[in-house]
Amino acid sequence: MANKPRVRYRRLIQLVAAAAGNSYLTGFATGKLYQGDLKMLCTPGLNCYSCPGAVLSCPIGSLQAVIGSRAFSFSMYVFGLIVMFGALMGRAVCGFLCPFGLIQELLHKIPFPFKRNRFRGDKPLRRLKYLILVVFVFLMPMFLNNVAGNASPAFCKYVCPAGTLEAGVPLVYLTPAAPETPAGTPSSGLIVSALAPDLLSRPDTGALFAWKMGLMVAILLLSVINYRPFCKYVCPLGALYAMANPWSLYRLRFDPGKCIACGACARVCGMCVDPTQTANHAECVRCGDCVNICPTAALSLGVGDLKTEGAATGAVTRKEENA
Amino acid sequence: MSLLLALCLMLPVAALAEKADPTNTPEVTAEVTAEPTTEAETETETEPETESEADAPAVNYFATLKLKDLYGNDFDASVFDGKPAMLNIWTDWCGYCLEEMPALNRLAETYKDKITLVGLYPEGVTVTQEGAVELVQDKIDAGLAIYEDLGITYPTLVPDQTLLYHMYYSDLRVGGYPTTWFVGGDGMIYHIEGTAHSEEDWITLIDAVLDYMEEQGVAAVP
Amino acid sequence: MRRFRKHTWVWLLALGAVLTALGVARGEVMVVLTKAIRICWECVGIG
Repeated sequence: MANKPRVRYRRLIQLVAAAAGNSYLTGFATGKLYQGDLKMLCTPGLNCYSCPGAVLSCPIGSLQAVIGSRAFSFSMYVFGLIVMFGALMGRAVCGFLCPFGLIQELLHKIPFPFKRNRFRGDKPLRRLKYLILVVFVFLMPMFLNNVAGNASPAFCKYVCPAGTLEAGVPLVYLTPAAPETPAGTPSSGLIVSALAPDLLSRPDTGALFAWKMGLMVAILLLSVINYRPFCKYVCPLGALYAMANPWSLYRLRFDPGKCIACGACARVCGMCVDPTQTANHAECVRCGDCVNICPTAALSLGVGDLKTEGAATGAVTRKEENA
Repeated sequence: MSLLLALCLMLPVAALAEKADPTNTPEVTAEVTAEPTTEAETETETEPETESEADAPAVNYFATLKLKDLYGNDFDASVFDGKPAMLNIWTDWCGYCLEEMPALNRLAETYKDKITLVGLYPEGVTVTQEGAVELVQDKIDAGLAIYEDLGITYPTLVPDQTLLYHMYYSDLRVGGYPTTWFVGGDGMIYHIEGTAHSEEDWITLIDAVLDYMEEQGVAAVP
Repeated sequence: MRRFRKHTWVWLLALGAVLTALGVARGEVMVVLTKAIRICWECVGIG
């Protein structure tokens, strides 16, 4: 069929976004974070700013940082950025720009005898991420302040597996916490003499670290079996973008006039969305698998709605089709 | 093909990031570093193992500092001359920093004859556009609230411009909070601890560092 | 009603822009920066 819409280059865009957002390679060598002004800006997707390679800030981390700070109880700046990203593309951020989403997808491609997206409890569990958003990202940093008015970023501290993978693991296992000064380096006049080699410090990796590692491993293993489990059940940023999905500028378009109700799109969808029912469902991450599989080009991803009548509502009832 | 394109697109971002990294700025020059007197000798009895021993400053840089503490009182930096120091760099929004401070308070007392423990509070100051250093009163208040609540008695100092440079921009720069510098009696840093620790671990660590400093001949002579 | 829904993204974008500007105006950006450039182990959930 001529001009069949295909979503090409999505994997490329994911790789570029992940690489560009973590391109501070010096950080991996020294164990010290990028400290430049680019970190005033947030990535659209989840990318821990404590990752040694990160050159931008995480929106969820920054949200908690400002909410938890002494001076503010909410972040208009970060929330505003999230609203703008959502308005433009909704959960296409998840599908195109989030490194952790990419990792889950790659893991899901690993062959395994048991793959399961649909199970009892899947639907109610999808609401968990909204609860996590409200409790860990908003309420806890807002109210659990210490005497100086500061609160810890509760989602980052207790939950985020992306942070564990991108920051925790590299910082604890790959780089020494107290780097040695290379020989001959003029060191600021306060000459650092040879560090006692057996005193290289490592952070205490106690109960909290064990919990975070366990959670991370669980989600990574689950990704082999289930498509994007973190995105479905846990991610608070996905929860925010989900709310923008029905309205975003870049969206999924469905033309019921071309649909032959074969059901291929609903079957291939990893997020268990039926695009013929609700094209811009809150759970749609705009991966384009349905677009690519549709035999009649009834689905496409693009800017704005199609001009045909009925396309804007994006729904067709099975009763009408089978009448 | 896609991979090549990905790499090409990644390079400009990496370059931009490197360029925007303040630690790469050449303008933050060595003017602010301590100037060692050229004909001085180090007073250590044993041979220090550093490559730069010829440049070792005769003057203990930390002993020359004129700093105030959180309460606004002057701090007598001459305690650093000839005696090891433990500088705990912390900030008000770092939960683990606050968690270890009561332990540090006890250790400051226990070890007071062997090592001087002080806190450093870099976020209590900011550098204006003209390059002057001024207090951030809200941050100072936060620090004071913490001090009062935890009952900390060892002083926490607010840095001046040169110390701030060392803490933020030199290759010595603090990678995270809390960071603790172990300074020998000669003013050189012999160990950097990049994380918080429990009281037991601190005792082990401080003893080990003091032993190491004694070997180097920079521990205090009782 | 359908026209409103078609252009909702514009309203959302404008709202986002206003919020961002307000946030910048009241000095939130420095907070974002200072917490992002130095590791706080608690924030990563280690130790």
